[in-house]
Amino acid sequence: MTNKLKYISTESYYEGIIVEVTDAAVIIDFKGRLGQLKVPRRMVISNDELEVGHQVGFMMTYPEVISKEIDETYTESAKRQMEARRKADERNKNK
Amino acid sequence: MSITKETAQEHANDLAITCCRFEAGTIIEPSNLEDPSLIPDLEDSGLLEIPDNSLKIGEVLGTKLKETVDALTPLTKDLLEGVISMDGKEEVEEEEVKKQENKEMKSIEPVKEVNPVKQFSGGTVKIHIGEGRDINLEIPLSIAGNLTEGTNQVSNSNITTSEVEKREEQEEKEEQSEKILRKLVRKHFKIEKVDLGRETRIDGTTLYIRDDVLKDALDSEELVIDIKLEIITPDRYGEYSETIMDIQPIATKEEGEIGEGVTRILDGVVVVVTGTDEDGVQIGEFGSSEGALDRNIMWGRPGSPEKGEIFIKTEVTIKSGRGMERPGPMAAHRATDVITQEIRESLKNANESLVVDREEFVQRRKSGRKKVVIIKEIMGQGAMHDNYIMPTEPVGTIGAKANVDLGNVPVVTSPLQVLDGCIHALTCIGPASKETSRHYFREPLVLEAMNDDEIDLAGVIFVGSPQANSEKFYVSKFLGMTIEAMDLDGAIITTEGFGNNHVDFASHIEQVGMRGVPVVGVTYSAVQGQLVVGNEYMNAMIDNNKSSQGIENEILSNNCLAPEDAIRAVAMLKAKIAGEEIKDAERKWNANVKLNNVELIEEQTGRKIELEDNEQSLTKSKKRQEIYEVEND
Repeated sequence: MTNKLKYISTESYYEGIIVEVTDAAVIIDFKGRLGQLKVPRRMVISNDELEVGHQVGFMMTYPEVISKEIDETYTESAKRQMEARRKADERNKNK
Repeated sequence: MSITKETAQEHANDLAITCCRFEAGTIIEPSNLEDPSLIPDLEDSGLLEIPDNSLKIGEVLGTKLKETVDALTPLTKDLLEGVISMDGKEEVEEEEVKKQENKEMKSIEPVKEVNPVKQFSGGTVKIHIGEGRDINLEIPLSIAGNLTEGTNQVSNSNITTSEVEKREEQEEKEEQSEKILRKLVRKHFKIEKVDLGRETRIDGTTLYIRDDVLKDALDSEELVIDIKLEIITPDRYGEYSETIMDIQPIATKEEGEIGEGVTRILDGVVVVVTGTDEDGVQIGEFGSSEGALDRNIMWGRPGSPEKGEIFIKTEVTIKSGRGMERPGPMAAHRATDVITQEIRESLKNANESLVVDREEFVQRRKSGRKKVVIIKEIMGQGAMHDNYIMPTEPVGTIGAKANVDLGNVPVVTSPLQVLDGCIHALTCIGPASKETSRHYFREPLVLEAMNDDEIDLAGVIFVGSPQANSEKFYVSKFLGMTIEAMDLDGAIITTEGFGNNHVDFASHIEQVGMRGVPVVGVTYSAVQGQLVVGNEYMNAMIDNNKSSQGIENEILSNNCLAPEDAIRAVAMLKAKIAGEEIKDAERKWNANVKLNNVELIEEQTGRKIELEDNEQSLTKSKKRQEIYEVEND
């Protein structure tokens, strides 16, 4: 699959802080205001039970657009999920 | 990076490359050489070019450098003084050992290549040759049996056919002591139509479901705020569905407990659990299969529906935000089970004359054969990474305990308990690699190992995969002790999904391997789910991947253990028990490795292995058609 990329093996070491833990996912805030990443809990390797505030390290590379074709079904489903979450957050705020 | 003496011995046949700059006159020792495992990387990155006349580590040790060389120079004859080729007379003691080992290997090799093989049932021939360094040969009967046919493969003059035959007779006698431990009978009832009615009952081949059963299901769980029931017939396969959380067979006990006695089962119909929370967020952890049903299901896999089956599909809505917490998904499963339980009750009362098919499973203790177990690592990180173990009804929820609550410790079950639905899968990891409840009910590896007459399947061990590493190693140690106590000849370890569960997967393999028990690992990995860690016992691995690109593609059951994988796993375990050499893995995932293995097994056993279809057989989604798999013609 990697032969689709023009720029390869540029991964470097990043660190982040766990800012949210649920039974299924964790949100990692990258140090240096580089953004956030939400990953399944089972993807995080840890010696201890995961907690908010834990520091994590990982390797990452820059995402590269490999195709300009629009993937409609995937986008729609992801958008629907994002919208649902946004609504839920709003409702929780008003409570 | 220089290497140690041990590494040098181990890699005597690998290329000798200098690790640093060395002056002329240096006597080559292991500490002058680069780690052979790094060489492919160095080659890839262009730092290293290897000429054809490069020497091997075994050849260069003890020789003297004629000229000064830089780091990462492949050693060749013209750079060194006193090179002895590995075929020549050796002077160095280390090499002597190496050479002797090589000789041993050579004497076994011709036997290894014997094919095709007559099927002999089980056991091995042990031949002891009391000359030189006490060479012990252990050849599987299936291969040794061929020797008796007097083919030209008899390369070792020390093996006489009469010896083999005598031994064979003895083995056969031993084998006769087979003990039946328990039996399980499945009575099949055919369902051709599902409808709503005033009461839940089975009338001929029609299943009626009480029309107000949903109210009971809804009232049973606090977290469930709505539940819908749909009857999906094949003509409605193209309809939209929320993510599939589980596929469940409908079965009930007529007699006995789970794993023995008589089970009644409905054919032609399955329960499909789907759901979201009240904001419409899918109850599935990263990667959900919502969308048109027929584009998201790999039909006919052990864990998925068959084409043509009727789905009793629930769509459970749980309280906002609870989908990502443990009680949420559990509530969705339990609410659905209220409906299934009612069908089970009516199945218990169904008329015996409606039985269309009868299957019998027998668990035997086959003494005299290789005793093996199957270890299934199941998700135990919480939420959607959990399983109910041992309900009172097949694949039910009542009476069962969650393996997270059990502390994820190893639980030993009988193969028949697995096939009778002792696991209710709550797992909602990636749809393509999660094992649904139906998967356990039709677990191909258990069936394959149980029906193989050359091995004795002693049991199936379930072990949970906790979140934290400390807990992973905690449960893994218990697994090791369980294995030690069982006095096994081999084990197959499987895991579903990928991620940190591969940390304990590796640890389980180590715990089993370090006790001298040959072990084979089965998992989905391909290009995406690469293992996080490894160890020296992980040299026999089966990859469950079926997707053409080697990735998880959110199509239900696509990358789960299928019969073809089960056949490969059992064959590999038998080869490992017999002490056959297993080739090192290729550096990158390559689908041909599997195809080669399949071909070899077919050649050796004369058995045709049906390879599963993959997502290519489904209607292509727009995404696949236009981006990933553009057709050139």
